[in-house]
Amino acid sequence: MTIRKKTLIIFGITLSTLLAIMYWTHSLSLSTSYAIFSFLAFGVGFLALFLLIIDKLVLSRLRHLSKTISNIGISGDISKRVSIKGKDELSDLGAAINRMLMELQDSQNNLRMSEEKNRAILDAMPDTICQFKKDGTLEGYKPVKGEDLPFLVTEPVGKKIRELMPLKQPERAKNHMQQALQTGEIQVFDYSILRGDGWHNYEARMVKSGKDLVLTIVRDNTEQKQAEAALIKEKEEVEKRTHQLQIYINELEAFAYSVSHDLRAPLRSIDGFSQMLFEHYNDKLDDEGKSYLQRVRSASQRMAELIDDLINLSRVTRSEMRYETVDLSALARTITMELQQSQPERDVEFTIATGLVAKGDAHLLRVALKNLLDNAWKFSRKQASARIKFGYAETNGQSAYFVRDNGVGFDMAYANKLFGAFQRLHSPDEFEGSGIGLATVQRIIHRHGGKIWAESAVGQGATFYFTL
Amino acid sequence: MDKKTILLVEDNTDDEVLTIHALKESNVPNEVVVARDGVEALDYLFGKGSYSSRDASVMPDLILLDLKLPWINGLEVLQRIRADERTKLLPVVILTSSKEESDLIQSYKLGANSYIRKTVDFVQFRDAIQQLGLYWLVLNVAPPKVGVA
Repeated sequence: MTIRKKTLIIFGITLSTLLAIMYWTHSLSLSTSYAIFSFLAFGVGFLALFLLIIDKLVLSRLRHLSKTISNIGISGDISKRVSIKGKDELSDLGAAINRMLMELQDSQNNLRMSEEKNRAILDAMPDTICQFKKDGTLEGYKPVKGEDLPFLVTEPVGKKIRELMPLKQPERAKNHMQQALQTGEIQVFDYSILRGDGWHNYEARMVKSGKDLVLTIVRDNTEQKQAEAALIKEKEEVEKRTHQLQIYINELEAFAYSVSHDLRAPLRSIDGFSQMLFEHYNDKLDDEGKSYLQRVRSASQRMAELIDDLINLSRVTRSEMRYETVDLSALARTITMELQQSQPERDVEFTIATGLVAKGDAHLLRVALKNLLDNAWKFSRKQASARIKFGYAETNGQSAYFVRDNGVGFDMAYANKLFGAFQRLHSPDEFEGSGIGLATVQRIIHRHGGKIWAESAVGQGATFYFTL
Repeated sequence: MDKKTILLVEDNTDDEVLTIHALKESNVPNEVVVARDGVEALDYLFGKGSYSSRDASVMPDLILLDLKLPWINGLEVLQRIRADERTKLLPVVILTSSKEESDLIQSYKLGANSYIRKTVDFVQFRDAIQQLGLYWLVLNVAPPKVGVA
């Protein structure tokens, strides 16, 4: 019943009450009746006017409000707003309703956005998402765009697991499903399906998603599996090669050991028996014979030195690096002191920069520095006043350590041969040596990740630069 | 001066001749027993095999031991010498061509008394042999005899 009707009922009741009173008053005196009637007529008139005003001020607005809200209710369009004019409780009510509608609209918007986000996430996922019932029936799924379904059939909804994958795999899948339901923990398993382009491997993750429901996320990891297999194969290959290399290295070590041990023994015999011949049959040999024996001896000793140098060279490559802070200045001072003591008659001026330290293998750096300083000492011996310098300087925009002498130097045309094993830029009669020293130095510098190069000119001395 | 006995464990006959020659020229009276491999050396020391008739209570005064030997190498021989009560105190000098650090360390670890590297230069080699003979047989005070004696 509308409010207007209710008002009309009130009016009707009032009118009928008036008529009853009229009936009751007709037994009274005329003037009294008249007075009462006039009063009542006025009352009715006032009431009618009052109702009219109420309708205008309240009831019609209430009707409007009710209609608008009912329209919103029917259409579901919560973007609509109620409009109640004026400034009273009713307009406050309208505003409150509008606020409510706005909040409702906001929360609906948020819900929609969140749903869109979830959908976007689901769409972007490279997984097929399926819902299984406890009995193994597929209830629904979200496929991966542009990919085959990870099932044997193209219409899988309503199908049982045993129809979705081949061979004995459904059994395993069901076992995992039971596990997921019983333990509440994620169950992961792989299965495969043969397609036109070969076997596809799938990883399925099952998790309980409600009473008797299992959410299953399936991903095609064929490529990953293939990459893993390739990686394993490659690793095996590398291991095989490493193993072979280790065998070669072991053989090489055995060879080096054998060389150092076995090659020296016959040399000792040659040298020893030559010397015994020289000593015990001295009177039977003429000077030429004796000089031949001396040649045999010096040749065998030189070969022994060569063997030692070779072994040292191979040891430089084989030995393990032990990094520490090495005081190169102190090292150079010790080496030069030893050189001076070996030939005290020579007049050599050493200049050694102080405070040069480097990170490296102390033993190897000593070998390198000794070779360089030995060379400087050797090739400057024809100088009346030899000068040998060890320092650190910038050359061609690069900072490097250097060993400099003012000795015989060498022709830069042969600089590329300088660091090769057995390469010599002087005749053995002029300067002794095996031609392995600089090859050893270079290996040591390279093992430290550094570079080595030289600058020289014939008769102008030589400078060897190196970085570490 | 008593003749001292040296057990020379050496498979190379040239080295054997050179070593014996060097010892002969030294001023130390000595008698050299040669074992040509590790097995023979141990047989000699413990009176076994071809040396079963030897009085095993008499031990050499010095053992010159090469490392690279057939069958039982020098390091193993040294190990067995040090493991046996009868021989554990005997002076053992390693006499080898090897310059390998691992050989050096292993020899000392196993209880070698000295490590001499055979040089190719015979004059140096002879010097070394004569010095070590003088040192170990004359200057050095030997450990008291142990074992069955």
